[in-house]
Amino acid sequence: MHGVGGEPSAAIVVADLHCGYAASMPGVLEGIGFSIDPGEMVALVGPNGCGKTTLLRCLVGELPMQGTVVIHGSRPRRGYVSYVPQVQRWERDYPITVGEVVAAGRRAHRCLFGRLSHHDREAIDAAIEEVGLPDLHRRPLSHLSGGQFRRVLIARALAQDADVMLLDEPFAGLDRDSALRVIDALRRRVARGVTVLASVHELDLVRIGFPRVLGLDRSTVHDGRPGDILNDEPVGMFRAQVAALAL
Amino acid sequence: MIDLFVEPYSLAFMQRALAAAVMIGIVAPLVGVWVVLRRLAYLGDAMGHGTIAGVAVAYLVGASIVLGALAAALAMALLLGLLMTHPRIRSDSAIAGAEVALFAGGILLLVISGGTRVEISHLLFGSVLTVSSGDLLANLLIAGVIVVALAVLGRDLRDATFDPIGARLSGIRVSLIEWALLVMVGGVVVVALQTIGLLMTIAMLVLPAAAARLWVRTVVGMSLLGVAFGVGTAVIGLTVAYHAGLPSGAVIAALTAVVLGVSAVATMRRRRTRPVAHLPEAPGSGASARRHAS
Repeated sequence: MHGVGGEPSAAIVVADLHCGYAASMPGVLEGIGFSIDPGEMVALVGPNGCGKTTLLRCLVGELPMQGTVVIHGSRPRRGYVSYVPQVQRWERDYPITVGEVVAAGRRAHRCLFGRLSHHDREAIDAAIEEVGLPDLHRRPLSHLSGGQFRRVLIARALAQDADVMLLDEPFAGLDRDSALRVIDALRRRVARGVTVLASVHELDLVRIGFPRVLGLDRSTVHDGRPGDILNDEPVGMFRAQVAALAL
Repeated sequence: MIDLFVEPYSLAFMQRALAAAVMIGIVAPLVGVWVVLRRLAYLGDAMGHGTIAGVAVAYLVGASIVLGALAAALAMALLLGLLMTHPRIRSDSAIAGAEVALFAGGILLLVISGGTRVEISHLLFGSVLTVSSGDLLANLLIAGVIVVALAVLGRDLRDATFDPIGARLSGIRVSLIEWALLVMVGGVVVVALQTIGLLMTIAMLVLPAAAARLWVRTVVGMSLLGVAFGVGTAVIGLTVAYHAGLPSGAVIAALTAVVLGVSAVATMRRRRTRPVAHLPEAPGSGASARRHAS
């Protein structure tokens, strides 16, 4: 359950977490635990099916679970956590523009009747600029490519000014320049004390952008620096990818 | 020709019916936009059926039908809100359960309370003769509350419909928004009760908004065009029903179906001739991304 126990100084504490998609089936995550301090930028790595997305969905309270999840010492409050999902079940025809999606990230900063303030508009414009879509403010989502759409979701998370950012495969479908641009944007947030946890398949980007790696394997978390985890025998699932990168 | 439209409205009951028709023509598509975007058409239909329980109770105790319908709509919204939070009950099953319970109960109560076939028929298919000044005032109040609620909650409704999880994390109370929408759908059913009838409410709730969605790409555009379709079909349908001696609800519903059909045919051709692929690509996206990948 959220908000019980945990180390008060940590940004994210996960202890003995069991989580799955149905009560009658074996859990995807079986008793994992780790903690992340404020201002850390952490990559969550592992092969398909190891539970990365499940873990992130547990952290945002989307899946039933057993164990302890503590985010900033309490149950996640309004606007404390921003989330970029892996697969967005969105309709291409949904009548919303890029600017409106990103503006949704500012909701916690407004009151019920509140219009966007000057500061809100600056934050929205800055976030759209950071992901490299400055000219698409008024463009409907139906006119975006998959990579552009993913960057819009990242911009929404950036605009939210959350304390903890959870991103599920944020670089999927992005070209290298865009991915590096996103990493820079995340680093700027981390420098301000924001905690970033992102599941990543692109191991070269992990080496470039993430000082700490959690290698997930359903019941085990291998914790360390990229060089340790990606080449380490217990997480040997990455060896083929690492070898390919070395060529 | 103009006389055909003016003459019926020299009668007081038709003036009241016109006011009720215009009201439903405005408020139903405004709520219908969200019903269509959230794929909740079945909810509107079920709400129409379920409301009959409140009407039956009103008959039984001699209270206002509008108030009875309003109470039933609120009760159904509450029941649905509870059932839909159950992790193992799918939303369509929850809607079906609430609909059947209230509709069956309502029919049984109507029979027990001695409601005649004619009265029941009026409720199901609408009858302009039944619109009183008091009902009109109550409808105006309900419609006003719905319009104000939509103005306040519109942005949150849009964001919560697009991405409920993201909306929740960004601070929107998604469950409250969803419950408010259920109540608004119930309010539309009550406003439509006498002009359109319970069985035909779904037509005005869904079809004008669905037709509008084919023509425009923004929520505001959908709302405005949906209202134009709604008011247009309501007024024309009411006038035709008067001259032809037909039930107003059925005529209005048939016209909304025609609007949707014509819109579907017209926009099918329009979309074929306007490919999205001709839009300029932003730097570092799409094609360039694919080049990098290869």
